[in-house]
Amino acid sequence: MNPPPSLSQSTRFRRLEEVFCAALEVPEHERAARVAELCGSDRELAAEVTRLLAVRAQTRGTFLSPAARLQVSADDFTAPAEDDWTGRCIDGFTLVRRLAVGGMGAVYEATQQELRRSVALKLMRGALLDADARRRFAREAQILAEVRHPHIAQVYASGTYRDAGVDVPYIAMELVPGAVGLLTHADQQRLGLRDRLRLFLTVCDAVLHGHQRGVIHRDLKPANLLVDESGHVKVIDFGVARMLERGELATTARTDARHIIGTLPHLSPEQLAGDARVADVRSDVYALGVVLYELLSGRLPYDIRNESLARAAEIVRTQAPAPLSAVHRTLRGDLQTIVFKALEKELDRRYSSVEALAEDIRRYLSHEPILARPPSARYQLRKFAQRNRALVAGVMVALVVALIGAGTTAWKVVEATREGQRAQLAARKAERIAWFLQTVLSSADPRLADADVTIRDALDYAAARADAELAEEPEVLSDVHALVGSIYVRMKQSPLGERHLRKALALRRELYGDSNCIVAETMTDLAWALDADHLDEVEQLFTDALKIRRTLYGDDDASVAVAKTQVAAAKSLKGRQAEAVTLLNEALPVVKRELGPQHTAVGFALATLANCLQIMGETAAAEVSYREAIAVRRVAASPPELADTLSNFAKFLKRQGREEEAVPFAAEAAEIRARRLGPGAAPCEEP
Amino acid sequence: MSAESQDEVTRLLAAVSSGDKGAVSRILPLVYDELRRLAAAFLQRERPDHTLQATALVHEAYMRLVRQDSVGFCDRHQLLAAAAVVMRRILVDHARTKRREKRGGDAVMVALDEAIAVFEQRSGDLKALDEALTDLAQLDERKARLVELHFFGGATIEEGAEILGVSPRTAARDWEFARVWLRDRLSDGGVSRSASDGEANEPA
Repeated sequence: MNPPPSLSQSTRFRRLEEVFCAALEVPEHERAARVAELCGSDRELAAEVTRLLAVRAQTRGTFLSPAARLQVSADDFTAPAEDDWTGRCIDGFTLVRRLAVGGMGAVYEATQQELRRSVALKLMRGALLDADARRRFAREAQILAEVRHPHIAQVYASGTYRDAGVDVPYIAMELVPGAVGLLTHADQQRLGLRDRLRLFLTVCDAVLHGHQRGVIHRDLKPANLLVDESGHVKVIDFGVARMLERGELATTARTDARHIIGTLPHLSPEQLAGDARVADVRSDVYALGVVLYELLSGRLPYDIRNESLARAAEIVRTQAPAPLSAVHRTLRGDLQTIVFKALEKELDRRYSSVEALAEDIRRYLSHEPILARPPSARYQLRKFAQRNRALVAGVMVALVVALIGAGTTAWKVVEATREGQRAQLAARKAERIAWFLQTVLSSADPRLADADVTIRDALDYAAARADAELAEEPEVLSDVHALVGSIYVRMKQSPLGERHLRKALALRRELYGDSNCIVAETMTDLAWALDADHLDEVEQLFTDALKIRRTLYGDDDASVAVAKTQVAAAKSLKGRQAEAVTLLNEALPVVKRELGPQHTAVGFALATLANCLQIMGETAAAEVSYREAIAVRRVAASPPELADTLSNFAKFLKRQGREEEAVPFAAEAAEIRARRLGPGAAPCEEP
Repeated sequence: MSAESQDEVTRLLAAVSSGDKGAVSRILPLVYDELRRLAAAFLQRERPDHTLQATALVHEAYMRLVRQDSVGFCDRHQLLAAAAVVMRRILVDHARTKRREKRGGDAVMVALDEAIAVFEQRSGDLKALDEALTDLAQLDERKARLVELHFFGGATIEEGAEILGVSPRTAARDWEFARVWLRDRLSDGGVSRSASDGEANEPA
């Protein structure tokens, strides 16, 4: 019987499987015969089975074995993700055993075959590097190789090893035999205070040596400070942190976050602030301060064990370390002064070098007066003011957010939607302004520090700094001035607000031209900030703003109508009631239609209209408007506005001899004002 | 995660395990969301020498989505089967994109990179494996599912046998052959005469 000339693929696959499995059922030496027997003349099938049997023999057990079971529980998380490379050979280094798995890869004990010496080989797997990064990495390694000191673990060699298409940078360093950590060593040897200080001085010498060769350690922590079997200190990983940054190796979030977590208590505030560029020798001074604190007290200066990363960073940046004297009485006085000077958050107040720190420790050991001074009372006061300023800054930022949030009501919403992305733009600007204010207000500046800091001081200061620092960014600068101005106006400090609003207006005119809604808005804000002595300008500003809006949006627009009521109010104050009434009658239906019958703008228009009509002697019409205005303002107006209208209406009634009718309105107005100002406040008459 | 989305996941998983391919796509964003949340939580833990076990992370995220007690449907076998499908998709999709795009600082992406590294350490290029597995499914669906269950889902061969409704012995044979067949296929660059050669035999 002939087989079909062409078997379907799946049938063929079945045959293959059949023969393969049958072959496996017999002992290995009989398999070839079994395959030949089962395949008959199908030599190609026989060849395939034979090949598969060969593949089977070569396939490693790990092939397609599960990487993990799905039924993992949260507790199973501690197994290292990296597999052990022990036994591998990398560029002439044979990995003997894995010493540690850390934030930046694993460290192996390795044998450098050529020199027959043991080294510590740090492998940075998971690092990313391009040709540039490789060059920087190599250059940095060269610099490190030149740092030689008996207490610094020598860098021997570095390079990149290619594994499965990925570059794995490595550094070969001096192996520290029988090494234990600095703190463990001190405890094991039961070192006393003075011996601990001497041990620490050795560390300082090593670090100082690196500094003198232009290398900052940047990752000083007990894990990097080892003591070998003969009691010698060895500082490891000198400059490696920078090497990784330079080489842009530590670019994965995993490495970064984990590394930061491990190192956090020893990172200086400036490093935590994220500005790696400012980190200098004083950052190492800080880290040494933390190590000294631990060495003396057995604990960290800040208790951040159970805090989130962000919160921990915040604590290190803002809080004072726990007093050493609380740990042990002997740590009072000079020792605490030394440690705390090393731990100063402000760079300028810290020891300016490791040498200076070491010098004070030597002085302490030889009972000489130390050079560091405990913070003065004046300084303590300043710190207090700064803490208050942080509070002020917090209030400011909240205020900004609230204002900008609130700004998107009324006609601003109308403009925002029409302007499309304006709301988005505003949000982005809000962020930048908030950032600016926060930066300025929480930064250290002696001019502010000694003053009794109020929001007003903070505002002035912010605006002054803005002029100096935002010259290149007129848009943000104008926003800051507009904002500061508006806050002053709301704080009833209109003359102060006026100055800022004028600046904002000038800037914005230049930026956006004379027919822009933002310019119109600023004009309106400025007009509100001006007092009765500037009525001409008030009218002019309101009128200009109205013109701009009318050109942009036409007569049927809410913002145009609202602008008309503002012009009307100005005209009314200048005694031109008839013109005002005309404008108000034009505006009112539009405002009601567009913003709703109980909008604050309706209340404002009606109250203004009532005033005008009263002055014109149209008492009946005035009374209707007053009552309508009061009804609207009861729903949607701030209490002072309602009180104003109530009080005006009461006066209106009195003037007509309707004293009794006036009483409840006057009483209600008085009550509102009393509530607002607190009992005993002077009655407030509107102009 | 909310009870609603958990219900949604449950529903989608039921659809996945009954072979609805579209359900896989709909479930992925939910898994990623959970992953992102988890990864962030992990990075905030303060444990100096703690290794972020990425593979476990992926699994954990997945298992959170399908908390057994809240799963209304089926037995855990069905769940496991669906999980294996989803795992395969997540890993293979990520393996496809990861070399094209420069990786950013996204913790999830990093976690997935690591997970893939673990898988590839064992079995070579994931994309090629995925393709070979798809081909295998054309020829023998059951074997392909067994590989998926075992390799991506972490099921034992015995569990796989139960899920697929075959005897353990059959499953073991299936596994032995599928594994070698896939290995062969991956080693000679995807050309496999046993499957793709329709020219067949010489006449007897």
